[in-house]
Amino acid sequence: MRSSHNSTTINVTINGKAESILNNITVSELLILKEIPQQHVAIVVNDTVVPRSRWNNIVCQHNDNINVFSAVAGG
Amino acid sequence: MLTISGHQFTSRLFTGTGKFSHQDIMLSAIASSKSELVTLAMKRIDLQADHDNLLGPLNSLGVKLLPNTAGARNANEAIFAAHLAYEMLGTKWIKLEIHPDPKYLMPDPIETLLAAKQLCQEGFIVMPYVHADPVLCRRLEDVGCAAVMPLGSPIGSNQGLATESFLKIIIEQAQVPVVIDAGIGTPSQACKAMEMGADAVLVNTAIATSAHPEKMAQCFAQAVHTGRQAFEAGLGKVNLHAQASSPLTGFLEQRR
Amino acid sequence: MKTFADEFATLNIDAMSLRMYATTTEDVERALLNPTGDLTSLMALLSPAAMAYLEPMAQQAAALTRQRFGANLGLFIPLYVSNLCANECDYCGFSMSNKVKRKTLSLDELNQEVAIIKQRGFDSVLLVSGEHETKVGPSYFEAIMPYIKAQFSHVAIEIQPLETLDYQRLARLGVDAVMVYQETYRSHTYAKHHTRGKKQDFNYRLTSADRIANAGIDKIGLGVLLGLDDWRMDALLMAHHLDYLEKTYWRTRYSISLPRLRPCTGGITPKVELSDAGLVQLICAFRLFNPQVEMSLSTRELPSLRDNLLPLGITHLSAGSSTQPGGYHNPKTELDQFDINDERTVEQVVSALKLRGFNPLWKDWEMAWINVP
Repeated sequence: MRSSHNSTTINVTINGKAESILNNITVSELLILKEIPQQHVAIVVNDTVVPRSRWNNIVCQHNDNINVFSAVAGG
Repeated sequence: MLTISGHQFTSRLFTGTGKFSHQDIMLSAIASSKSELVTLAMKRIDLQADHDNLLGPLNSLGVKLLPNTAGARNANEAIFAAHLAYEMLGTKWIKLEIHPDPKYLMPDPIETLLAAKQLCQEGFIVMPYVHADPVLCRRLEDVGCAAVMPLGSPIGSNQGLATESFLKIIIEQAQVPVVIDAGIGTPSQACKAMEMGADAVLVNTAIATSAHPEKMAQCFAQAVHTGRQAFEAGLGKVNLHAQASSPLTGFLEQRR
Repeated sequence: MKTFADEFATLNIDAMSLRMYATTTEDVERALLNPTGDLTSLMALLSPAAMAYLEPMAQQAAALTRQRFGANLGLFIPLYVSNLCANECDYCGFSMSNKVKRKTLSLDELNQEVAIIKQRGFDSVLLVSGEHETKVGPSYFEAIMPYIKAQFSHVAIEIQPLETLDYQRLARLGVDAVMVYQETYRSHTYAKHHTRGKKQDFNYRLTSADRIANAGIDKIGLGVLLGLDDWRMDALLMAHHLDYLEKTYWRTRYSISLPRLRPCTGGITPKVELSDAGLVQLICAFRLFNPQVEMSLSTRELPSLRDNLLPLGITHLSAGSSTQPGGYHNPKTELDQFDINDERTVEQVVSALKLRGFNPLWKDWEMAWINVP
């Protein structure tokens, strides 16, 4: 629990990088904020895959570990 | 026509999207291969870099996507990857590959069976990449896999059908389509696999690393088509020369 | 659960028959090139057109048999425990209406028979009985199995078809193999020859192998009574059965029997007679189709023919057989199921085998050490 944490921002890790984001934003809003196209990505919060249908309901929490995956070329 | 889990394929050549020098080359190669099933991997995206749009062009080619679980080292990671692929692409089709060995990328039979069982129960269309092990293929079939994908030789090695004897047993026994995956380096090897009665082959490295991928993709398409036609036509007859004597059935004459 | 009856219902048997009889010599030559595991090739090899290729078929079949089984020939002996039967089958001496003396071996009589068989050297026994649900049903076999298993390392049974749970109990008591012969895969002919009793239920018999496999029995024996109907088609349909079973229950071993219809008490004449050459063709065709399947040969055939058939694909052989309950202790009684044509003693058969370079095998393997609960 970092001391930098206050009521308007929370600390999260996005794809391995520590970031400070506004409190009370949903996973959907986070994608828009980070300019990540919503199509063809998958979101994992704290090692759990978040179904697309719940992106509008899940609010990012302090210390969340968020990972965004997409398809890449591969055999 | 080849049918996997109710989906029909006109082409029996499956391709991968890896190892191409440029995305445009990859797309033109896939187009000229006429492949209808294309594998791809998944990765955590780089937030800083531009996101190259892989899926848009692939979708406009009209190919079916087969996400793989590359990178998974055990069953749990592979199951996780399958869930990821489902959320990402909306497909329950999954190429299950688990290789704990980073050097030769040999598939782990035990973890693969565990993951296949679970994923089939969850309704995934599971196509496991495995060693050319006939018993393992039967076990995978038993737990509900839609196809089996035994390897021809070490992945990326271009050594062809080093496992030929075992592939023949798998083809003879399998009740689900057999897709020969990995190691096919030349069109003639792909043709041979099809002549043997394989249902399809998956070729990536040999096309991607050719000096002319588009041309090579076309060659593979022709070879796969020819091999399949030859298999369906039935291989030619050998000359059975008349026997001067009949050591094993002569007794039938004597008895008359 | 899916059974062979579902698969069987999808077969267009008339079309198969037309195709088989339209087989050309080119078809046969192509089949000889790629015979293994291919039902289309087998159809060609069972066709009349293949009669001209008996010697090349025999050579390939003999080579495959030697490669897989070596010089070994497994010896077994049938032990008839009862001729009681609630069925009416016009080709069988045990038929209900036949006026023969009926007998089911008591434990003492069974032990007398066992003692004689053991003395002759046998370690593999085939228990045979008529089909009488109450008098020689599963409970009879459950009662005698402990005594039998104490004496023989390999026990096969050829009795009425049972339920999966019955097979499971018998498996736990040490039954290694179950033989259920369909007699014919043509339902009309089947109905004509089976006119009374539970055996009239064609599909119950047809699905027996599924139940045996599901019960975890190690080996299943299939067979048809060649001559009841067109033997070429019956053999082909049995191969479809075998193919289905091998693919569905791949942990199980399989054997086939190719008995020819013989005259018996109150017997019938074959609808389609199977010649010696036809029998050679059948054995070779099956060996080419399936290099691993076990094939047994009974004492129905004459000694000279039996000896000549051995190298072509036979893996198991009975010798010195009696086909009547109590027949080893008291050979004079007349309750035979069918006539025996090879009346040589076991010693005579064994020396004939050795003379031809075979290794008579009394004991196949010992199950006990892997029978860990």
